Amino acid sequence: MAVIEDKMEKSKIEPEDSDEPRIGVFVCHCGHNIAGAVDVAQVADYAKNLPNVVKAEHYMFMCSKPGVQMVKDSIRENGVNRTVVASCSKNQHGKTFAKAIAEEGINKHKHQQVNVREYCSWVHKKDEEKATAKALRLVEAGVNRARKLEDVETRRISTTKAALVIGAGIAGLRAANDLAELGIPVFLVEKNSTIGGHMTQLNKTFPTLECPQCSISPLTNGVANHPLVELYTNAQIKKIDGSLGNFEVDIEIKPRYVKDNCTSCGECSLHCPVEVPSEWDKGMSMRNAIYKAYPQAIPATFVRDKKSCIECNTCINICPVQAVDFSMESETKTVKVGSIVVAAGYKEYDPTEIEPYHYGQDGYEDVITQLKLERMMSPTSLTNSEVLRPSDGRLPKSIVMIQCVGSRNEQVGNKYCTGVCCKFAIKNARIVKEMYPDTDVTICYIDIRTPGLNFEEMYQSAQEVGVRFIRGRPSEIVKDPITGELKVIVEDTLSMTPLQLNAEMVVLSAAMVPPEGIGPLGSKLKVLRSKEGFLKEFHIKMNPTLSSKGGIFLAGTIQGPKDISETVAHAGSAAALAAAPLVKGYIEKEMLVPSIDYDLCINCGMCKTICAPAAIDIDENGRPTINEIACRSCGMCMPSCPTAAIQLINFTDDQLYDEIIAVSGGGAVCE
Amino acid sequence: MVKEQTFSFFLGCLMPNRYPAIEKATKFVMKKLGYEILDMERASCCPAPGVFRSFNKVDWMVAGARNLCIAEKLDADILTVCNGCFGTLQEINKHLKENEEHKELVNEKLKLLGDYEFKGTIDVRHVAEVLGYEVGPWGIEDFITRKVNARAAVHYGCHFLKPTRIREIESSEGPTIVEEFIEALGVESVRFKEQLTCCGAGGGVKAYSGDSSMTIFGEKMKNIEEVKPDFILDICPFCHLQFETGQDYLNKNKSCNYDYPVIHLSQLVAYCMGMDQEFVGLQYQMMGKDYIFGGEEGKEEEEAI
Amino acid sequence: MVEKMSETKEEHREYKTDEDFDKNYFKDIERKSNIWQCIQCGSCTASCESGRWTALKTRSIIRKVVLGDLSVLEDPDIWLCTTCYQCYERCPRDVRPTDVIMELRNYATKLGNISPTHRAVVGYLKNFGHAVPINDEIRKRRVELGLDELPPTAFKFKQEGDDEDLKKFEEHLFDIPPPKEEKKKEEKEGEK
Repeated sequence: MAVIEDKMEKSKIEPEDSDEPRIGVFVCHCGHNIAGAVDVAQVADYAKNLPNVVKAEHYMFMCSKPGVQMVKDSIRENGVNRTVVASCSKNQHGKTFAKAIAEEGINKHKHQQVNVREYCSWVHKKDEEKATAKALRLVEAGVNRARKLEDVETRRISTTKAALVIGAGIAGLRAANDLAELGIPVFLVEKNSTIGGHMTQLNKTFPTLECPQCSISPLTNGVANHPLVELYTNAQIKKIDGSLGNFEVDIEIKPRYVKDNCTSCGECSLHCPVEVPSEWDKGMSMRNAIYKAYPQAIPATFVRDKKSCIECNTCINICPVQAVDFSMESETKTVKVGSIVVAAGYKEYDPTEIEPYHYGQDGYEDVITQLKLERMMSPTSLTNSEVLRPSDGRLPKSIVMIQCVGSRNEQVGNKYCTGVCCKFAIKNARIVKEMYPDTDVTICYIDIRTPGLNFEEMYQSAQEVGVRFIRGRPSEIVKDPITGELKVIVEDTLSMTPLQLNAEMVVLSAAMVPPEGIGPLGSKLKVLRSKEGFLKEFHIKMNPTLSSKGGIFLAGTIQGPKDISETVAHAGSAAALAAAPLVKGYIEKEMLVPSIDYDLCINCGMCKTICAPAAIDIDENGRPTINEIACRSCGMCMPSCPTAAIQLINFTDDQLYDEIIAVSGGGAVCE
Repeated sequence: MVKEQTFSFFLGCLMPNRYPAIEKATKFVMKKLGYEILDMERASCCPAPGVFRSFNKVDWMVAGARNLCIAEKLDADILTVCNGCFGTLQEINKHLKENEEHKELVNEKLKLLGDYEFKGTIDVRHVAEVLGYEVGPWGIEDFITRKVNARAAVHYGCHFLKPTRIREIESSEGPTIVEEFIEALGVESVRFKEQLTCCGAGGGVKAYSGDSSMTIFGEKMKNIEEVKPDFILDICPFCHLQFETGQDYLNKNKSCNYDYPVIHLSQLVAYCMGMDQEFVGLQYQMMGKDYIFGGEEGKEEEEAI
Repeated sequence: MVEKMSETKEEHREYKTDEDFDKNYFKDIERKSNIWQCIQCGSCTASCESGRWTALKTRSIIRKVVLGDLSVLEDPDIWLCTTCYQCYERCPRDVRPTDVIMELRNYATKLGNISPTHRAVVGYLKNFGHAVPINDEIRKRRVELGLDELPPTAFKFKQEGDDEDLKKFEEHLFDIPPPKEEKKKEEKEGEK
């Protein structure tokens, strides 16, 4: 056994608290787990002599009933008002002892857990001397900490029983539905004039080849007509204040210029002289200045695009129910909600920046994207569901699909793999090949990624009907300047043959990227973005539907590329998490929050900058104020402060120094 | 600060030793535009990027840096008319300016070659971008006395624009700098299939395997033949050589019948600025010996009052 | 007496093992971390102007470097790249294949694997300061055009008696080892 000598005279350290600290230290054997490497008796003995320690014991299994009882008894019998248990980790049994002391009337934050198992005995099994010496330091550090622990209040805050869902695509609709079914009123805000999002633009969904408009119809109708759902279309979020449980949101509703008594008869559109490319139809057809995005759109009310309107007033005069009203103005509506679910979706990558593919250039109209192809093949398409070349309206004899456009690229586009494009390309290739057996359909790929049930089979069935798969990433699309023919230049890597493929039409499988307007939206929500630009989840594995800020949840592709099944599951999780504090009616928050010494504070604002959940604001006088509800207790404000004016309760510089001094051997030295 | 309106003229190998007419034309053009042209005494081969860099990268950097030092001593940016020389000198210059470690390594070895020390004080320019961007199609009007009414197959070559992250001139997928410039001289660029492909001479391939070099080149000539231009315009003496000797080879070995004049940008501009056709030097070249520049003579008559 | 089984006339292919590759041979090659990220997508070979008509398959060259297949240093195909940089521009993993090929040529050159014509070009640089030296016809032409007979390069100074530059080139630059066959010959003669 090592001889431990006190190298420094220990003075009784006065606590800053009003009540004199009376610390109880309990060292656990944990069977052989700790006692096998650490001399627990020696540790307990050592602890007994530390200042403010009134009781020090060691016991076989502290987490057992008698062990816990020991702790409780010490409070009752020895007036112990702060406890230190040296055993396993805080995650393992920290709560056990904290709960025990709370039952005896001591604030549960006055328990200090010291880990002498994972941090000591388990990693120093072969050296008892050193393990014990280390344990002594760890326990002394724990005692030093415990000495200055303060009460932390658990506050119960009542929540507003309502939720905001931003975005009414499949994710938003699912979330809104699930929330409403739990009895929670929902404000559903959609920036477009119709709901349903990208899913309604698709022709068929994989792997079952169902019609997405049919699949989503019960949901769109259900949500739009749900008594607890208030739907705002043509609307965007203007401002968000507040925090978890109590938000105040300003919604700006842009005018439709068509009143709610619209019967959707379509007379206005029929007579409107203006025609512009339809955004919903990805430019594959034209719409009028007064229009409904597509026949089954919900809401069925028409909408006027003020920018393209020439104000000829034909629609006003022709409407049988006088629903057209150019004098309508923007409205702002303020709502109070307890949780926010962000389901703002994605957008298709624009391949224009990949120059060798010539997307969007004159003469290359037959180079399109998969979303455009979906629109062409849809039942209500301009081409009557036929796949035709945009340049001359002919049926293409050869179609080449190119994968990984804007994905998996270090030089242009994005580095990530979207993960959905192989599936939708194969789906579309198979449909096209079955529609036109005489057309050559080729998919040029780097890898085929079709995980999940039924997808390998889908890949096989595409091969079965004769879709040609060429493993090679095309280097460019060339156009013969005389004949105008397009060719795709690719190496068939599997047979090491460079090829020129005939391509009367080229379909680019473009990546999924963050949607338009995500920057301003993210700022208003004050949530973190991932490096790819999506909204960042709290924990990629354990919490993919919570954002960096409490009370704000992520649903669907706004958090990253996914297919519809994944989106629906994701949205359901977000809804459940969002519902919890609202159904309960309150949140209980431990006020493990920082406080600011304004005498030291120099108003530099660094704490506000660094606070991830945006829980620090600057008031009218330039002073930082803390939103205690939004605070996540991460403590990052402390190192950011140049004058140490901001201190997190129970993690103050003072308390941490005490711990460090002991751990570094200022108190005990081993020979 | 380098001297303004002054260039150290880097000659390279092929221009002075095979196509001196291009040298004369370039000097003529630059002087007319008001630039002073300084001789780079004791300069050597750049050294050729595809050849010497393939043998020993460090020695290639050292020999290139030596040429750069000669220009640094003249205190004037380098002007070159050759993609290969541009490729070597611009890249070495930029690399040594940015990479301390390699700069020290190169300077160590440079001492062995004489009183040379790379300092990184000059830039390297190519006549195509000096004309195309600095003078520009808008600026050249004032200096030309005649335009040429012709259709040309424009060949950019490889090392002028690529690697784009190092050259930083223009996108290599759809360049327009040369074509926009020559439009001001009355020359229409005719688009042909796979216009931006390599001539097949570079990378040491012409020396290593003349056959392979000609195979690559043959395909390019086929595409050019389809559009029947009046002449082929290049901005690199090596491509120039390839187009000349290549057409000759294909005529002799592949029963082709090519006779397209091959003209370097400098030669074209010199003619438009008033240089007599005999000095443009087509009669010395293998192809298009009988070609006469057609077009609008006496441009001054067109100027309105 | 047991009779030997007659040898098969078919070509005997090798079944390779890990020992046939030297993963560390190229450990100092520049950009090796990017070369290892090559996903063999084939954009390079598809872009290759040379590869369409010749045996050069850029993608396979990179594959050999990644695997440590040293046969690539004897491969004549690495000399068929015209360094047009098209593959460099288009590679989605930013491998910069052109630079890799030129580095491989450096390795090959160190082993003496360089063609006779290329050796000759090195000779021209050291003798004349130019990869393409001037000749009598061009000297006459220069005078006809009104230029100096010799351009003011290192060669002119050598003609005038000052060959310091080129001597130093000879001494310090581009020392190319002899080809393997010659080396073996020298070694054999040495043994004698």
